[in-house]
Amino acid sequence: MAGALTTEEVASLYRQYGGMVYQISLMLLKSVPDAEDAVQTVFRRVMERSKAFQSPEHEKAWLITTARNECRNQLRHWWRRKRADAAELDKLSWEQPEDGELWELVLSLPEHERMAVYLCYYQGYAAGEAAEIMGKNPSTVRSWLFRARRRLKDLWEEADGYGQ
Amino acid sequence: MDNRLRRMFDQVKMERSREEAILEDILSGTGGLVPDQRRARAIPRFALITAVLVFVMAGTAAAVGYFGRVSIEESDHPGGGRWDGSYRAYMSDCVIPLDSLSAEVRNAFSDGTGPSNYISFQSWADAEAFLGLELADNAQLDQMVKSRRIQYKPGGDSKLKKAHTHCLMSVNLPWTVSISTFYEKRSCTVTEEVLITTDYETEDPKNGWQVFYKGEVDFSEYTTPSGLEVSICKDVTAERGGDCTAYSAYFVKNNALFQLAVRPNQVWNTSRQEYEFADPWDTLVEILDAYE
Repeated sequence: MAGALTTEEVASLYRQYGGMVYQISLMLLKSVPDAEDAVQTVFRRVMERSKAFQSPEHEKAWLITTARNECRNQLRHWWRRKRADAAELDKLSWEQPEDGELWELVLSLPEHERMAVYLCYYQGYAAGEAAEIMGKNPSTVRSWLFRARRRLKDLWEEADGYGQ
Repeated sequence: MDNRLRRMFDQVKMERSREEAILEDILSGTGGLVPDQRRARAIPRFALITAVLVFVMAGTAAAVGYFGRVSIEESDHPGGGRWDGSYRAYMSDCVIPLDSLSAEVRNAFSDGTGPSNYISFQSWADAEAFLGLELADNAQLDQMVKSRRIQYKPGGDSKLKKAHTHCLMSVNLPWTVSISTFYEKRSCTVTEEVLITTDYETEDPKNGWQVFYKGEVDFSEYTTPSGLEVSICKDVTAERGGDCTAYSAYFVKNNALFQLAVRPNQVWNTSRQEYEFADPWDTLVEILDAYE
């Protein structure tokens, strides 16, 4: 992995991690067009990048961090959607209704807890690794995970779905 | 729980056609967005509004569309194709310390988002008391009929009830509180909305609204007798009953961004024997001038 990536390498990276970047972006931005924009921005940054990635792990972590930063920038710097089409997220289709309910619950978590849940429970990172990616202490991420699980459980029980 | 999360995330994916279109766009390096959903709107609209802004804002030393502490920028978001255009109205460097808000608000934030963070009130004063802030007094609005509406909520919620004032606390970064309240006259309806940005994890606060419109828009500035600097968007649409002129005014007061929207009602003109819309400019100015 020396120097900038070729077009073929970027395409290969996109096929491998485009879905992950999209999942992070949609989870944080809650808007399909904005998530698609974020995916484009992240991979354009890959193309512009002159330095090589140190390892496949570094590559993946860089994409996660860049996706998160891009989403945070969008949320911080601009505006809050208003009078927009609230049905954008309805494009997702679910195998089972409770999957859609769980998605709604995950989206209702604070941003940092959403991210910690995604990294640890879906991407399989240990709390320490997720903490490194998120620039936080491992104990902080562990407490986020604990709170997130408790909130999801409470919300799901409220929605009469959890544990059945 | 873990298996359910995994199964759920497995299903969060782009449509295949979009995935390929986005890759093509990235690799082509055009820098544009994929055309079928975004930036499909006519370019002349942008040219028109830029021209209007440059003309109206001539003489201001700051960025185009900046007046008082509000910036207005043309936007290329198509709004699902149902609108003719959109612009962004936002404030810079206006945050309110989270610590200055009431304990109830701080608790609602720490509980996370959800129905508990969406609260309705029967008066503006009740909302201010809940927040622990005094945002604005307006004698003109106090004299108007207080209407009750179901307010838009991201994601939708059929359980929401009608209320005069709605308060939404959002933990999307930065943490914000938005308040909406509704008034009525025979000739027009008035919506007053306020956006508060807290200082929680807010490094570079630029926060505001994306506003979608139909028809033609025109921007101007107005300064009230008390010195409040207001950016005003005039929006004219063709409706049954003739042209309908509505106004949205933006200003910053007490470090919060206000939007005051005045929209005419269709009323029967007895002399002309037809329905028409009266231009609500005078009502807008009366209300703006009444902000203390």
